[in-house]
Amino acid sequence: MDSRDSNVTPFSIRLIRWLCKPDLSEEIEGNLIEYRMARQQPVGLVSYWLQVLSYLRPSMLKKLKVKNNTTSMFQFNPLLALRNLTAYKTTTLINICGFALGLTSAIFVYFYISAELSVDSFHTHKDSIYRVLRQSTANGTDYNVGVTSGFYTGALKTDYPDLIQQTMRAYQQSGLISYEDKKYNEERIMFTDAEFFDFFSYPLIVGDPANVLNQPDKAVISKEYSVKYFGNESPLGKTIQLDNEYSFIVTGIFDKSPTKSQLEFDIVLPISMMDQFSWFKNKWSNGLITYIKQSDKSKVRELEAQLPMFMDKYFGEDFERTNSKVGLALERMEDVYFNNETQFDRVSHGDLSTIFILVLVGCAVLFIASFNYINLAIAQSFKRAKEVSIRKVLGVNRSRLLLQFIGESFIIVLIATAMAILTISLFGQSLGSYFGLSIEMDWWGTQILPFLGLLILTILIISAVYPAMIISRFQPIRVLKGTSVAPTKNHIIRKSLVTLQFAMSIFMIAVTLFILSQLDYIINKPLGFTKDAILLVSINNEEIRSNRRSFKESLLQRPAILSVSSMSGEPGGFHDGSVVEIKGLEGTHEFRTAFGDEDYLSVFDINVVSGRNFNKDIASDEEAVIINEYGLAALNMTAEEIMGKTVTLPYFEVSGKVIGIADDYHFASLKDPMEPVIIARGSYHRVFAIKLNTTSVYEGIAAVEGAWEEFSPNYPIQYRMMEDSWLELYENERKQANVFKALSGMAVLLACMGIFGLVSFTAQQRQKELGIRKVLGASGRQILQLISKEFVILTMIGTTLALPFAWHFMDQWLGEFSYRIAIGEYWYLFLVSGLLVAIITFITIGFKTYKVSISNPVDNIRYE
Amino acid sequence: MKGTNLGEFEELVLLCVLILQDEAYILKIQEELKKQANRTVAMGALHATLARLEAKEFLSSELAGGTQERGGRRKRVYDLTTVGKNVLAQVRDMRENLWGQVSSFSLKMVHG
Repeated sequence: MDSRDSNVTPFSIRLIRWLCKPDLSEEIEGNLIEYRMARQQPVGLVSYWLQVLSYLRPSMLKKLKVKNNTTSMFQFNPLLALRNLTAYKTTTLINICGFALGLTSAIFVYFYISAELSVDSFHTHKDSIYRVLRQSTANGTDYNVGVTSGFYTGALKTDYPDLIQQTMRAYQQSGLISYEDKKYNEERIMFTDAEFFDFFSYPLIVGDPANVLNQPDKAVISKEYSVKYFGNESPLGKTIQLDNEYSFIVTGIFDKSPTKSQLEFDIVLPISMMDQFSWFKNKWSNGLITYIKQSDKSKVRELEAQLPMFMDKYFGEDFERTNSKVGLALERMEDVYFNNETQFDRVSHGDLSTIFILVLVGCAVLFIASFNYINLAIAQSFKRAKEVSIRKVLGVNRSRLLLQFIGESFIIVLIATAMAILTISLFGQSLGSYFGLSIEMDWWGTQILPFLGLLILTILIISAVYPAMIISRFQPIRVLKGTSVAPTKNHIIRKSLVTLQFAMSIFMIAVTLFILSQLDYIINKPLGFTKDAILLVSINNEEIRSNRRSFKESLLQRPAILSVSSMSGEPGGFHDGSVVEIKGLEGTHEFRTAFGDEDYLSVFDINVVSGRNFNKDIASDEEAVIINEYGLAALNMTAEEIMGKTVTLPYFEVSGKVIGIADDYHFASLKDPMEPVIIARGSYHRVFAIKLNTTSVYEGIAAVEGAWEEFSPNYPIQYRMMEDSWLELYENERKQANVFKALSGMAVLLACMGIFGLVSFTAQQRQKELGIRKVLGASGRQILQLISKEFVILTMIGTTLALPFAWHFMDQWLGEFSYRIAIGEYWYLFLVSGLLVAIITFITIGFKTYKVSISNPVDNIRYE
Repeated sequence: MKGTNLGEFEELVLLCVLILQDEAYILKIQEELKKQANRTVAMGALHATLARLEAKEFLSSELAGGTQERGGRRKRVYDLTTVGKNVLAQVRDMRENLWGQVSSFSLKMVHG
């Protein structure tokens, strides 16, 4: 037939010949050739292919069924695989569940990590954007400060026009946004320079990037906020108000950015509107983030070299006055997200240690699942030895056998994958919120599908190839003759895999227990102040700020309120660092600052160890300061010596006499070490700390709300319990604890499932032996001991193996904390983890062995 | 075995086979359907219909000699069986019978 073709057979014809029934293909081919070639008018390729495809229908296609029964055992046979899987239901179930759990955690981890690693990757110019940081020194260590003042961009651009292509400032602020009767306190407002949407690549969907922000009264809002404020109406041209005072016309809408970003905002306002405020022009003010753009790396280095000179030029006088020095540094935009070291940072950060932990435990769970598979497959292999031998005798070669066994594994992994994908699609979001990790489930956008493919391949290689090789290596003659089929080498491999599983489980349990103990420790450690039933109310508008005193008086008249203090820098809050000069003393000292009214110490129950607290009735106390004991020690003075000395904080233009020494209280989270603290009065307070009666907290909150309504009806109140904001300081650690809790539970569960499967096989294999033992007088308990002895030993080895790793890991993890538990003192946690695993294992074993040990030996022995 | 009733498209195909006489093979039938009834139908679909009609024994077919334009492949030429002709006649009788019972009034309503 081919010889009659004038040229090479076209693909379409070959397709038909390959797929369609042989007795139909001649006619079909003819029809198609005539259709294509012999028409008066030429036929288009599309309509030709439509004809071709229309032939690919069930009635035309070859039958898929393998007809020849004698060859089926020489190739991969899905039916046989399914039969084998259903024959050993427990094993199959354990394997599928194990892989499903493992894959679920792997997919979850993948989604989380890929989102974290792609933060800000959507910016077109991400390689040429740098953030400008300030460099300071405190107590001999250098640190970078993330916030700058509005001054830098202008001066940098004027001084180095050749080295900087573009600059950008972003100032995040909260405020009251109102449109008609809708009023919300918004945290996600950002003031930026006009070229914002050109500098970065946030997706502006409505509006021209060049002029959406070129007037001080323009605003761009997110799609989400457009709905929040304007519903279905178009927001364009509408006027929104900030703090009931400043009006902005909406000129553009932006969409959610394709990945997470270091800058988080929903309302963008022009920074030019800030120019009316004098503080904004202050070179030393801080709070905004400065970026520059330069695509030429060599110019960036040149600029970096110029920065010290730049700082001296503009800040030289201040450096002399305060006897300190501040430098500037550039940070690549890509490095910002994971650099947690930067102080006073207002961009959002990721945490590499969380990522590391997730990868670690994700892999561990997968490994445990794979080990289960290997163990069970090897155990099972003895059962299948006869089947394999007979197939071999009948002439199946080894590669076909391998194919069969790997095919069976593949089916298991495939089912598990489907289950995992289903689980993640259904519960991914809620899992994410349980762990406090936001995940985006983008099945098509990310590389998840190739990743899954690779993962399945890896699992198959790890778990399937070895057992398949063992099984296919059986020598038929020995097996069929009935001699031993189990080379002892396999025992060692099985035992070491079980031991590894134990070690991993014990590692995870120990780490979980340690993390929980540390969290328990930091939450319950006496902090030197009381935070119970304290309500923190933000001073978020001028009405309340200017009536601070009378608001406080009004609050104190209510019975549910015990005491009130206004402040900037509550324990756990922001304590700016400052240089401190003491009259009559050489040099300067670094102190952390807290500003509060006369009740600052009393509202938190902070003890005054010598001298006295602030007193409302002494007018000169408005100027007085109190330092903590640690600060006193840092100054190397006694309380008597320091009392009455005049202290100056040049940055804040505050100076006053020392009147007292406060107890060392933990002004920051226990991750940070104790530092010298100075408490001064200050005037720009940000928050009220209101101590409520512990027995009537709800009445107390209602009373505060009532007072707020009287004083500041135009602004919604913002408050939080101090307990909660203190807990937020350990958010990351609590997240990690949750992850470990869940995954160590999973690891133990998986390991137990594996052991259960193994014990089932052992019990079955030794059925006869156990029966004879019983006949000879062994008790049920002795038989239980016999089987579990091996596993108890393996648990002990596992504990020993896990110990150094867990120790090292905890040492690293605890290193984050200045105040931490000593691992040595908590040594028993290792013991507890080991025992826990041993007990769980024992229960698992007992469950299975019990049946064997109480069974009638006659039944077991008689069998044959 | 499939039912022996006749679908509307099957009826069209049978009629085309009748009209085409000796020339009734798939491409011609396809063309005829387009020309006469303005029906576009893919070859595969038509092929399936023809096979079905053959299974219902309304059509018989035989492979005829290959031509140059078909790359030497033979073609299947269809012819109506007696059963097929009877079925067509039955359908026609039934239609005419039914049309006879329709009052001219209701028909006017339709056209009006």
